[in-house]
Amino acid sequence: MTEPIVMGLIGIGAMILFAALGVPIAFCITLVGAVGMVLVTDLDFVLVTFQTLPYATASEYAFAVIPMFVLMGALASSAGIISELYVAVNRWLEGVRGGLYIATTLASAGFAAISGSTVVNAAMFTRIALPEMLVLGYNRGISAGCIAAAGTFAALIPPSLTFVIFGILTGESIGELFIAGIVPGLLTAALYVAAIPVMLRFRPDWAPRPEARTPLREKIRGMTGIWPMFLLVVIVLGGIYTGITPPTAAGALGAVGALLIALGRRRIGAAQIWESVRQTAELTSVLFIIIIGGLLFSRFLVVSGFVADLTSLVTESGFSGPMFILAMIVMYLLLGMFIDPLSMLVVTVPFVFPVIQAFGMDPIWFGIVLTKMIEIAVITPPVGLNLFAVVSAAGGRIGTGDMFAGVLPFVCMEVAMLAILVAFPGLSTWLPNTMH
Amino acid sequence: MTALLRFLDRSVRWLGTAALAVAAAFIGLLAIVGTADSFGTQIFSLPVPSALEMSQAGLAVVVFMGLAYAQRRRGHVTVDILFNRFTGRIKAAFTGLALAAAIFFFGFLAWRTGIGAFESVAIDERSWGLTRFPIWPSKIAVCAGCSIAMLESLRQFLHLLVGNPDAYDAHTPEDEAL
Repeated sequence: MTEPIVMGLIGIGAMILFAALGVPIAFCITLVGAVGMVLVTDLDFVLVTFQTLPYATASEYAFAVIPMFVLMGALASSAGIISELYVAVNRWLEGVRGGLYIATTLASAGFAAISGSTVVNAAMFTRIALPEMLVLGYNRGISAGCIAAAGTFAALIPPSLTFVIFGILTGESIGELFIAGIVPGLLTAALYVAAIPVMLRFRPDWAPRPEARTPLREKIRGMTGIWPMFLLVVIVLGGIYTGITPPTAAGALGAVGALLIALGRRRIGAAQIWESVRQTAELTSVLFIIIIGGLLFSRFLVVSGFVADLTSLVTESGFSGPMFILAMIVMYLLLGMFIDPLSMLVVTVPFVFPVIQAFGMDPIWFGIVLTKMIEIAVITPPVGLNLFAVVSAAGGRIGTGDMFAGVLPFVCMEVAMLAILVAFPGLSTWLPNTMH
Repeated sequence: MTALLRFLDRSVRWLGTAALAVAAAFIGLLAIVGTADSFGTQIFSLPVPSALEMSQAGLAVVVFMGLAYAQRRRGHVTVDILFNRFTGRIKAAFTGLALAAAIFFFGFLAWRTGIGAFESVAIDERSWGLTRFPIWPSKIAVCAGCSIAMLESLRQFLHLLVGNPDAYDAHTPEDEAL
């Protein structure tokens, strides 16, 4: 092993050690990156980097997409538009066995088009869907598992925060990543909708006998409240797809549009607006400080020679592209069991992405596959962020044992979808290739 | 020590809340400027002057002015799989390590971004374009945000030292009031 590789591995090891001891991930990666840079270059290099990089990153116009889409999702949630969506979808599916599982899947996919956070998605549907599922006699664990797994749609269906962060770390187009996520995201939702009835055929006790209660007129009336938000989503994504509006401007339009829709329907007051903005400010700071840390750590890996040596080592050691992807899948699935997805992303992308480029693989496709692996990671025990989001939002109604067992069928569906996306890269690259 | 902590509780929390209010105002500004610029450009062929520069400066203010509030709520992402198994003094020691890292992190950033802000003010730094938008105010805000976050971390660290770990927990009366 060359000296830069040893140096890089020591840095990654130190970072993991401090993180495990409870030091916030942003501080670990920044401080380890800083010490590493001092060792391989000199103090002046570090001082200048810290003087310029944080402001340069936080003032990049393309990255303003983060607070705008976070605000859009927060406003839509505060205004109760999501629960309205869930009720409307549920009315159409109440005559189907397992209708609430499918309604949760579809409404979650709908919310994913407004929100970019998988945890927010899972926590919200726990509050909206879980009480009704439990009252009607749906299986406790499968209900929780369905909510946690469907929450991950937010990572693939745009606007996805995972794509934005991947785009920032790699320099890939955030707009193209957004558009590339549409087909895989919708396909995943379709797979759930197709697989849930099959699952219930083998285990009918997991859902009660269906009972249609709502007249057709009521069902149609229930849809009238949600069309403005869908129109807004179409305008926002359409603007990005056609190139009329860059993602940041589309996000601003989305946030203002969500506010106007909520105000127009008298569903939001000053307190909810403040809460939405407060959440947005906090989340933006937390995300950016990790991204800045990730970029500083990445700079250390580059200047130490770790990235160049690792790339040569992998490409010259007889590894083929598919073998490397397989190794990455195993690595991310294992890491995902113990580390949160954002940390995993900022720590690994700086050295994994150059190797992917060296193999000549499509970076947008890799972004989709990586995001799918992250989706699986957040629902894989023992450290699946979405699992804990559901258990915590359920307020004692779901135990971790039920949760871990109930999510397994959905992990299988996700792994099947990952295999499809790896085998057919065109599913991810076709739509962005037709842009502009 | 108690009087110092009480002073820090009041003043640093006030600063953190004020910084959050500034961040919130700039989030609103980003949304309004982005929307107005999109409509202006696409419909009236009349973009908002310096919209890009305003958004860039505004984003930097949002990112750094929200830091102290995130630190107050312990909102920074932590891998707690091992940490949650600690109890008593060991947990307090590692909490102290995390807070010391926060003080050093924010302090170092405040120092370096402060030098950047000082140089920016000295040359009256402005963007290049039709309207020469001033950049130095946002650089001052970045340094201020890091400094307030460092003070918040220091406040939490001092509370930990006097054996009052609850003072750095997520919800404070001020949070509830917000």
